[in-house]
Amino acid sequence: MEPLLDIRNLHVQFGDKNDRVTVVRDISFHVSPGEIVGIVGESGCGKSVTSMSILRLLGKNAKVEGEVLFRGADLLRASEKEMRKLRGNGISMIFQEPMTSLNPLHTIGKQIAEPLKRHHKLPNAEVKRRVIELLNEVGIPRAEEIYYDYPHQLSGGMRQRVMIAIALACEPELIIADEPTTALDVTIQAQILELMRKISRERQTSFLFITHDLGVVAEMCDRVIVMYAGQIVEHREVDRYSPTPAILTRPDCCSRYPIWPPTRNG
Amino acid sequence: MTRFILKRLAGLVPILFGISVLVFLILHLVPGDPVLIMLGTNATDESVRVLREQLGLNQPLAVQYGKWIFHLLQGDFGTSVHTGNAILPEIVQRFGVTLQLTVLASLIGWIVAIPVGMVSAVKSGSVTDVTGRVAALLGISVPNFAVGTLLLLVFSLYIGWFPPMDFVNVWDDPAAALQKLILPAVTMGIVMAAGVMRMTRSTFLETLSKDFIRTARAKGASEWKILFAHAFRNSAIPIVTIAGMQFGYLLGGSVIVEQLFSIPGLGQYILDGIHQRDYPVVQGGVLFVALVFVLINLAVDIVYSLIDPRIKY
Ligand SMILES: Nc1ncnc2c1ncn2[C@@H]1O[C@H](COP(=O)(O)OP(=O)(O)OP(=O)(O)O)[C@@H](O)[C@H]1O
Ligand SMILES: [Mg+2]
Repeated sequence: MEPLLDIRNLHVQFGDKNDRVTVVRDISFHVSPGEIVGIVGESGCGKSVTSMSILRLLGKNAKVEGEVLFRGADLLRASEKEMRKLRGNGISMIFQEPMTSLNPLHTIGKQIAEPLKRHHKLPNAEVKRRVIELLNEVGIPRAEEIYYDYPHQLSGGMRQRVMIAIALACEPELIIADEPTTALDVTIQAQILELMRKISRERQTSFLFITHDLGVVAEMCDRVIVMYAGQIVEHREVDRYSPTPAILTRPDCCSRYPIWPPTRNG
Repeated sequence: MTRFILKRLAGLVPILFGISVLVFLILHLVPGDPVLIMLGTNATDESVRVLREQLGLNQPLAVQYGKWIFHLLQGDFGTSVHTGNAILPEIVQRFGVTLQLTVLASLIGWIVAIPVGMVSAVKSGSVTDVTGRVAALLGISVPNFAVGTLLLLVFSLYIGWFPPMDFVNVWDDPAAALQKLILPAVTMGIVMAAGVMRMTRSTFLETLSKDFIRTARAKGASEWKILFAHAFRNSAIPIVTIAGMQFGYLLGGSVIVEQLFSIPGLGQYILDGIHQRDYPVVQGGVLFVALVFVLINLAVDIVYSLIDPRIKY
């Protein structure tokens, strides 16, 4: 099967010509339609940078090289306009921090409606109906009221549900979730994971699922990529039927690999 | 909200009381005798004594203060020692002049400063940004009498666009009023613009680095939309703060600019009062300015709650 997302030899460097740090080095992997691929690795190993480089959301000081093929087209060579059409539409993202990822001055309804208005020019009544539907789908009670609420009136778990509703709005083929549950407490975390599993099952949406929680990987993912210091050090299927996948049970799974310091100027 | 406003208005009472005591004391403790100033140096002891009695200046300070406040509470600001005219109507009329100048100056300042600050933030580090920042720095550093004099020289004297003329109210003759006010307004506007521009730039820089901006970008929003639909309102509070402060400050009358462009505003009125030791004028004027300033601050607080739903009073 043709992969939905195919990343080939991705390099990411930060800084200007004189002082350049490589934070992602020669990463290749793919995500097939309907598949959940996990990326794990310790803090600072480059998971977020990798995920942000797919939608080209890194700042101007980032230099991204390689190929990011989505449905066969290289996103790194697409125009900014084409990228804007894709963001929130073909590919959407869920971020780690539900507390700060929503605009504090816009109502929940408005924020979920934004991608709908941006990508499908729907009439207002239709947009609202769809937003309420999305709120229900992500398990937010009293959707009609929450629609007019502001983010500060919701709990962290509720906000993350709102973020998921935003990501789902345009029915993307791929959702990149960057540590979507790290900031939440354990019970809420389980609920959010269940919600995402449901979405992937019912809609055949692919997920690129970033986490540093190996238990979450074992529960969620079909395949997992282990990153260490900007490189992929392990790439394997997750065997859902084996209760304890060998590599993932080792809390020190990364420390087996030799220290690879990020190199300067190259 | 109404409760908040009432509470704030009640809070004004002690503030204004404090200010009234302060103004009164400072004025009366400063050397210089209004009676001597009025009568000239060759006044006889007798005439000085009579006038002093007439004005009530021979009474103890506490009594004088009490009388002043007593009348003030009835809306009576008294009459000018110097001209004998009632003070309140004069203050109101002068305030009208200052208000016109301040509004025009603020509009000019903000219309320039906010877009320039935004561009500076979006293109931070670019030539445009550096130019904008240098201009703002100049605007802050160059005193406004220098700017005013320069504008007067160039536009009034050499080019002759704005000949010297008497002040008229905007509502009486808009064209003439604008002609009279434009140079002083630009002079004041430059200083305002500098402060607002710097604030706009730094707040936008901060807002644009926030997580929710990244979220907006991930939704496919255009840079234009991000700037106006997301960053603008989120950056508004510090900008409104500094703009409101400048506005309130200028409503107190800008002595230098009014003097330079001979505009009969509140600043000039109070300054004349000080020169002539015209106690009731200065006392009344300063109290009025203080009241306006506190009211502007209240208005700014109300604007906060309109901008940000998290701010509830
Ligand atoms: N804008 C940037 N400029 C310079 N360096 C950056 C930038 N963003 C990230 N980095 C660096 O890239 C490296 C990888 O960061 P990244 O955020 O991808 O880590 P992560 O794996 O997501 O970690 P975490 O689990 O803590 O989220 C870090 O060393 C970080 O300091
Ligand atoms: Mg991260």
